[in-house]
Amino acid sequence: MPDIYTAVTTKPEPKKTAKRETVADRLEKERVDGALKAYLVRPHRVRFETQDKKEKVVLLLRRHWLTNVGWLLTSILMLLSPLILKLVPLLSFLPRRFQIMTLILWYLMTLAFIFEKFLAWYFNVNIITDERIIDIDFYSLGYKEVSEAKIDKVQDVSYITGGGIRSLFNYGDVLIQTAGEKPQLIFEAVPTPQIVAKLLNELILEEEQEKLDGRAR
Amino acid sequence: MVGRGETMIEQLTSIDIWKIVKIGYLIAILLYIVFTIIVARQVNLMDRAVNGRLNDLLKIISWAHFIIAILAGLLALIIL
Repeated sequence: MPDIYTAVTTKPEPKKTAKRETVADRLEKERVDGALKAYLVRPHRVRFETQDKKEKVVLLLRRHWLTNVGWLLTSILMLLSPLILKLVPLLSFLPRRFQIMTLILWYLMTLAFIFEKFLAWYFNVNIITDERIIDIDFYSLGYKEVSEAKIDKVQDVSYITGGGIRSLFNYGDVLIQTAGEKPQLIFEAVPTPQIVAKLLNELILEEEQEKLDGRAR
Repeated sequence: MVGRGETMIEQLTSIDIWKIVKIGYLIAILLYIVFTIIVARQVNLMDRAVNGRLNDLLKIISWAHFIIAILAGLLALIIL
């Protein structure tokens, strides 16, 4: 008998889908890097302790440079204050050798003050990767607090730029509500908080899309 | 007995006050040296937490800070 119907046995070619550009890939082209910057986009040579091999650092944030003005002015005053001794000889009751040693001790303390303040600014960072949000805080000598939340656990992102100075220099706080152990992470005094909030929302959407596609890590 | 008491008073009043002040300065510098060691260890801890561009330089500065404190201590021993 002749065949009435013959099923097609060749397998259809898989549809070629264009590789979706991730937020991290897009920001690669908008890289902002620098050793002393407070807002870094896809920075080179930045790694943190718990980073996975495939995890990419999207943003590294520090407090806005303006938050350092207080201790910088104090440091300048501390450096210049021994000049007052020429006008008001406060140490004249001490022998010369003790006066020299007092000055040396004063400058050592000033050096320690400047170094500690710089370290506190440089190492207190907020990191956003393509998978997580990490807040690293060093409160005092040897006391470290690391808070992190996976992006898919983020429930709400908002930001505040209160006050004249903060509005003028465009820095503020980004508040992140999470479903994790720590209900809220706060990125304090970071530059362009509105851009940070927008990026976080994009990463949240991307993470949701990855879950739907079954590509979530 | 009176002679011995007088000798003791003479000994007490003849103590050079600047030797006591020198000991005070040396204690202060010793505490400062301990502080510089803690700062150097703190920088190492921070470096492990976040590794950035300036980390190597900051580690060098922290140990240089310690060496400067040691030199200040030696200077105090010599000149005071």
